[in-house]
Amino acid sequence: MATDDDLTAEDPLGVDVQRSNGASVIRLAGEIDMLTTPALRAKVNEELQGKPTVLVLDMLSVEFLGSSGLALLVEALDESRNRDVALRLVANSRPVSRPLQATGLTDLFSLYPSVEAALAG
Amino acid sequence: MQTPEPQQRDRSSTATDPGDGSGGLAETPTPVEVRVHADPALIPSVRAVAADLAARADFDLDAVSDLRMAVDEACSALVPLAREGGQLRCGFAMADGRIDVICRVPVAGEAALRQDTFGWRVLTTLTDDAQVLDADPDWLGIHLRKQRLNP
Repeated sequence: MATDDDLTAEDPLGVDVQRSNGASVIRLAGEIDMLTTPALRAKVNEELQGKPTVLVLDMLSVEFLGSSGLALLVEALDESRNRDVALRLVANSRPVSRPLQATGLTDLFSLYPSVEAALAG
Repeated sequence: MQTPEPQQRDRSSTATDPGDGSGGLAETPTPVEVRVHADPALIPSVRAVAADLAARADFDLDAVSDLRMAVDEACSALVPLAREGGQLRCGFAMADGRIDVICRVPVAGEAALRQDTFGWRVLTTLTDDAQVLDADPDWLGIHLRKQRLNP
């Protein structure tokens, strides 16, 4: 319950959730590292438990993605499959695309250039 | 009147040869060194220094990103193992189109770095070489090497 209070403007990672028509969009801004991953994990799990048809992670404004963040993405992918949720990532810049590429994870995920494209599938 | 002070415990690491021929791991001379409290909140500053040095050394953008991530991973692995109140020290040496990074923390007792984790796999994937430095009983470290150009 404390996670909402933790997500102040001063946090290195901003997390904003929007839900409509059975789709959840989590917009992330800032740095995803060992410090910020736990609160993000709680958010992602909360959304997955709501069983939306589509869960979009908007990572366009993410400036850093560390291994804890990569691990979280892989977990979220597993969990989304268990729950029959389509997990889609929005990413088009190096801070996200390079870590995914360098670790060979790119092909695991459905990547889109914009939230609109991700929602349209 | 002076009594001997129990400072030797703190200093002993500098007098201990870790077996790599460079003296103690605590004092490993490099042109650039960052010392911060071993606190996860300070890791972003350390990885920013790594990225800045790589960019100034003409690393390509992917290699800069890789080094930033690798240093983040090394620090993230070491900080939880640091002795209470200890320092995270990261030294950087740029030469011959590569950067060597030595990150280390003071440890108490049997701190060991696990190398069967996802994080370690990421770290070795992102660098040209990654070694655990565990010869010094008082300090535990990671040596990373990254070439300017990705193969």
